[in-house]
Formats: sequence, C-alpha cells, structure tokens
Amino acid sequence: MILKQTIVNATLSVVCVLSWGSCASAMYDPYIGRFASRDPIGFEGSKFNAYRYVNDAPLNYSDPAGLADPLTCAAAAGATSSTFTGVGTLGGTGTIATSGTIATSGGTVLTIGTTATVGVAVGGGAIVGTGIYYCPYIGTQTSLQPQLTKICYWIWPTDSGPPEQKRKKYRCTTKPRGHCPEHCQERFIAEGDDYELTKAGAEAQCVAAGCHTPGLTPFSCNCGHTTCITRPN
Amino acid sequence: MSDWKILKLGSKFQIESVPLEFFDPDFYIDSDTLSTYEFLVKCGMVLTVSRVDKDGFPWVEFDRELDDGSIEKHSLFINHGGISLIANQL
Repeated sequence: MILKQTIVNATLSVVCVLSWGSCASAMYDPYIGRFASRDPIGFEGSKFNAYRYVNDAPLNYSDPAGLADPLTCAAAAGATSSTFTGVGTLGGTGTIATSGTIATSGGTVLTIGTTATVGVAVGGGAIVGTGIYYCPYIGTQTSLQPQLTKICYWIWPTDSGPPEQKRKKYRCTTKPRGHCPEHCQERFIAEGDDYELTKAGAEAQCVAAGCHTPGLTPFSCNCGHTTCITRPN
Repeated sequence: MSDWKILKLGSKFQIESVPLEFFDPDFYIDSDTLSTYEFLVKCGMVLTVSRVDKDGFPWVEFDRELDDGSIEKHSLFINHGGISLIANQL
C-alpha cells in the first residue's frame, strides 16, 4: 500500500496592492468585508461560508492557496496513528502534535508527539506504510512570528484521502540564474502530486548539477527561481 | 532603494525595478524569470521573506494567477538590488 504525503509550508506572503485578480488567489475587499473570491476548496473550508479564510483564525493559520482546512486537519490529528517507513530526506523544524513515528530511508526516525526535527521534505519518493495518519499544522505562533509556518501532512492510501488533495498534480521547474556555466543554462523539471516534494525535486536536480554556487567564483550561479504549476490528471 | 542584505526573515518589501545586473551580457537569466520580475514590478506585489537559506540568502514565495485562472506558485531567491523595503520587523 502506498501512502502519499503532502506538505504545505506556507506563509502570509502574498499581498497585492495594485492589481486585483492577477496577484493572489484570495483578495480581501475592505468595502464588502470579506474576501472577494471564493475559497478554492469551497465549503470544505467552512460548511457555512466559502468566503472564510483559515476558519477566521488568520493569526494562527495561513493559507495563501486557499486549499487547506485547519480545523478539519486538526480534528483528524491523532484519530489514527501508525508507523510509516519510506524514502526521502526530511529536514526543518516543527512540532507534530500527535503520536506515531515516521522513519526515512536515510536513517532518521521522526518521533511524532514531541518537538521533532521534521518539516520540509527534500527529495522524492513515496512514504510507504499502512493506515491513515493526519498531522495538523506544525509550528508555533508567537508575537515575534506573525507569519506562522504551517506544515501539514496528509498521508493516506492511494484509494482514500481528501479528493481535493488527491487531484493535485504539480510540474515544477527550477531555472538557474547568474554567472552560470553553460550546462546550467537549462531547466530542471520534476513532476509529482506533492507540491513541496516536487519543488524540492526540481531544485535538487539543479543543485546536483552544480548550478547553485552563490558567492563562489568564477561562478555565482543560483537555482533561484522555481515555478510550480498544477496540471490535470 | 534598499540592498537585499538588509532583508531578514519576515521582511516585507517590493521589487521596484528589474535588477540592472540581469541585463549584464554575462549574466544568465531565463526568460520566464525575467518575465516574473517584470510582473512583480508591474503588480507592486508586497513580498515577505519566508525563509533564509543556509548561505544567508532570503527567499520569497508567491502565487501568480494566470489569465486562464490557473495558479503558478513561485519560489524566488533574492540577492539583487532594485528592492524597496516596507517593514523589517517580524
């Protein structure tokens, strides 16, 4: 049974001041007192109001893409806990708020339920295991950190899980820039159904090709622009 | 205009102009990246530094909605001029 992992690491980083529709997926209209566009997940974000943003808790959660539901995710946390073994490298920091473990092929065992070194997944590969485990948003909100880092794991067998998430397919392209050697003047492409993993995959290809050498001479090239688009199944 | 080196985690800024170094003939830049910068300048989008990498460089992430309604998600490395700092506190 193959489980899929989706990690959302988002911040309140998108604000448009001049242009409307072209700049963000959800624009707040100060005149009508709500977001001008419906949440892309519609009533899954709120049973009663598709225009709500992160369940009216913007200081606790963020959702630039308008696709996550913190309450649903949090409610699901701990409902099922399992042990998963998979491939890929995990790095970053965060707190997983329920029980269980995730073991990676790199030998790192991530214990859930304590503050653990987990977070942004780097590299590809599916997490394989049994059962369904949901982990809610990871991170802490402090007065010094208005942009809460939200890291949410959805792990589910291929025949279950939130349909909105299952339908997502990403194609990510990393493009180097700078004083790059000739072989770096190309695009590094990864495809997958997990945004963070796919993005990291394209960036990793670029780095592996020796195209990320900030500060080094004679090249000061960086894998500095990744673009991810969703594609239909 | 501010230098990118003043950017910290959480800094908010705008890109006022396409960085001049992008037009250096020895500087390689993909046409899509250049187009993205032109979009950011035109839109005046306020960007927030969402992470600082191990080399100390700031990164931003933002979404761009295309004409067909689809969303492009961008991750951008900032190490150039042409920025205007708005706020530098977390």
